[in-house]
Amino acid sequence: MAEDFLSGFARRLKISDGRRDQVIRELRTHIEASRNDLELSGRPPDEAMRESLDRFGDPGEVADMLSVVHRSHLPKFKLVAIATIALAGLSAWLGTSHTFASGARHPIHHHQLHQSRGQANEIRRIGMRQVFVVPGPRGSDRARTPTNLTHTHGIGIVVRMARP
Amino acid sequence: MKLYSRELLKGTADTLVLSAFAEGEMYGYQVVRELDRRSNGFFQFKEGTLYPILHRLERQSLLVARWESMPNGTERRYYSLTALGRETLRDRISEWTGFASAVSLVTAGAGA
Repeated sequence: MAEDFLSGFARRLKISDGRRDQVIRELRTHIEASRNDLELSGRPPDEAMRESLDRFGDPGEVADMLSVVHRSHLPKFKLVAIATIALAGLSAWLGTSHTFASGARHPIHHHQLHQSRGQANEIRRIGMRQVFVVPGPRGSDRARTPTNLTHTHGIGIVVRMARP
Repeated sequence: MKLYSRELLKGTADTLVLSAFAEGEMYGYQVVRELDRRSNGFFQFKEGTLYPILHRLERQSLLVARWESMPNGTERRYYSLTALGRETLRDRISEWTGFASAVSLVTAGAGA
């Protein structure tokens, strides 16, 4: 009876195999301890098992709650690794490590965008955003985007850092 | 008779569970019995719902767990408070004590 209960629970549990085995071991111990207590208090074995499962509650609900707990917490080093890979990918997508993109550090106006369009030696499309790559003096690298991209159709400027 | 609302228990569940470990390590079933004993059976909840709380508190580094094999071949997962868990428990108790006192002050004499 307990094994059927735990099998159903395990099927509903959406976590890694290693973690799932540990959770099942832990819950099996719980149900056994509960059943033992009930038997010691005089309940027949079958009745004790039924009651211990009833006290445990809905296995599907518990499995769902545990799945959320274990899904929503990535180890910190994994988060750092994912962030690093994402930044590296973004950098590669922009095409050069000499291009610095940091969102709206320096809000710009429409007339600057039109001016930049004329100066651009390269125009790129990054997702929904059109970006003009314009030359700039050494050390002046920065990405500039309008304060409200939705109203400017997602246009931005990337000023490329002069190579040393 | 309904003794308390589910929301009220939800808001204090972490504090209650952390409090169970104030005197030492315990495994899940022990926590259930301890909460039952300390509250004179006041808190009634499905025992399985304890485990998501224990695992979340462990993930938050408030509890640490270890396995222990028993002579009868079963294994128990014992949890205990970490230093951060003790500090958090102190803060939660202080917060709850202040909150409960204020509620008592406001509601005193207002019972219909």
